[in-house]
Amino acid sequence: MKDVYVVADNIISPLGFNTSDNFKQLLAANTAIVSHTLPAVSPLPFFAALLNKSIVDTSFEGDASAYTYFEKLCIISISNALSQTKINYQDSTTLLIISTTKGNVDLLLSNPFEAKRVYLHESAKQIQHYFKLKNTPLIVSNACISGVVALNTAAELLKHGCYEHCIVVGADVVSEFTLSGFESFKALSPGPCKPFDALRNGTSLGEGAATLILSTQQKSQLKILSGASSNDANHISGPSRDGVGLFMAVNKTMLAHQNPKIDFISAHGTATLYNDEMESKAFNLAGLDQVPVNSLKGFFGHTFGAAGIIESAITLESMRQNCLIPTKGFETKDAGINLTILKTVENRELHTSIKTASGFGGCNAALLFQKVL
Amino acid sequence: MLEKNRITSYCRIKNHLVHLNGKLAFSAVNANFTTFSKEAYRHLGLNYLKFFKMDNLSKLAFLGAEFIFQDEKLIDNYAPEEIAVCFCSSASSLDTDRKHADSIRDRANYFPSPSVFVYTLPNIMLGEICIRNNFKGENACFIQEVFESEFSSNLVASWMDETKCKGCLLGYIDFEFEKEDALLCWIEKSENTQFPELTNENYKNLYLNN
Repeated sequence: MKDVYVVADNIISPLGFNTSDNFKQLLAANTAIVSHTLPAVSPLPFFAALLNKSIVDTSFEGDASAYTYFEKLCIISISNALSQTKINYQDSTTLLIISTTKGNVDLLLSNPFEAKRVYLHESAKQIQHYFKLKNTPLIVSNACISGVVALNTAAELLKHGCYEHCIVVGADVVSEFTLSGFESFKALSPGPCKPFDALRNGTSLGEGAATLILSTQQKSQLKILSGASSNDANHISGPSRDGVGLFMAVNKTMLAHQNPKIDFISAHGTATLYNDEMESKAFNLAGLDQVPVNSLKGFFGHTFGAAGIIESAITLESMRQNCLIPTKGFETKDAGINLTILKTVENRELHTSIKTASGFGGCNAALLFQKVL
Repeated sequence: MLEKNRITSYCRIKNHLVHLNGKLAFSAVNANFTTFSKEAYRHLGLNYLKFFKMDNLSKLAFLGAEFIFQDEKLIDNYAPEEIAVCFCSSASSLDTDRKHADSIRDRANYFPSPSVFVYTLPNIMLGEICIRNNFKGENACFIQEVFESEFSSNLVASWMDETKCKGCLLGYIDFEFEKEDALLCWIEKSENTQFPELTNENYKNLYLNN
């Protein structure tokens, strides 16, 4: 089995177009979630973390009109990550994995492109051709755990030697399609979301993209140790009430790697009533209630297919800088939640971190990052 | 030691024909998918009302799993967390995505519904099967342009060999424009050479030849 290293990373969000700019904004406690009045997207004003489309276009190298908004986010993020490495990404040793829940689904309502562009594999083909990649990209579409599943799959393929490098990109955009759906679920907070807070009342949507480049041929100070996923086998849209499903994903991940001491948990923390309570139960079952934990949804909103990768990129930056980011929006302790929630920036030595996610369909996933001593 | 990852049962659903382990198990060729799926449900003697709330993609995957797990012995020896599901699809949830889009297209006739919207995620079909059968292991849902056997058979083989799971429902499930195309394979360690090994070739041939 080969060791897998994270050799480059990027985040494209309203807070910045690379990981380091995003990290600085988090240290300054700035959120991307603000109120928007966009009649084309929603009949009523709403809170969300939205990118400025004209900045996206000016940041794009090439013919911006030939690509959809979703594709442009993926391409800008991948380009930035690739510029940090010297891998031969165009040959058969590199695989691109795309994590998204909905890709170009907004084209169903208004489509200036060919009809087939709405298919995820067609969108993937556009990104493949932009970078002239040899291998057909792999697409993961597994609700909110897509990003963690994509990273786990990449790590699995790399450690077995199927490829030498994987570019893992995650992206989703906010559109009328997703906003109307989550509104119908009554899952959205009327203001910026408040993960793990006693007064939390729903999530906030966000859009963005992020990329991690994983390699067995190049080294860095950060390794990715593949994790596990699980299903609650309980409900298709409600989190489990006992947290056992997430606990099993966390527990399997830890046991597969000699049950290491965990220094930090990057939680999912959507700020819905039941999700956050479920995560607390799961981390208590795993004996991790004393481990510092954060949710970044209060900064970026819930970015779906991008979430697991954005939050992993921030976790890696925290590990490099030995500096933990607080949970934006968390103020008041909830009697039903027993976790060590980060409220302020904390400097401490970080060796091993766990990233978790849970989502519709009853799915849960976890993975480990470790700093090489 | 002959113990290998083997396909100990499989179900192919296409053109309203259901083949279980290579033999025709059910057909309703002159029906639309709604009638076909309802008749298949009745044929299986099911009493599971959640079925009627599912979208077509989930119904298709669910029925494939029901045909396989009529033989309850297949999963008897495994704990819930030892059973994984790995599916691929081409059109993803687009059949339901279009329904949700139609419900919000016109502001004067705006009726987004959570019971439709939840099925705009393709992995919900895995959730439905996990709920029905109490499977709690690995879950992964991938999108491919066409059925492609190599990646998913390799991934499941590595899950099996690393004991991330002891049994896995591996499949390709696609539904769009009233046309279904599904292959579901139950993978477990077995010494019985009458069952095909899980290889790229064998998995592909089950798709092409049934």
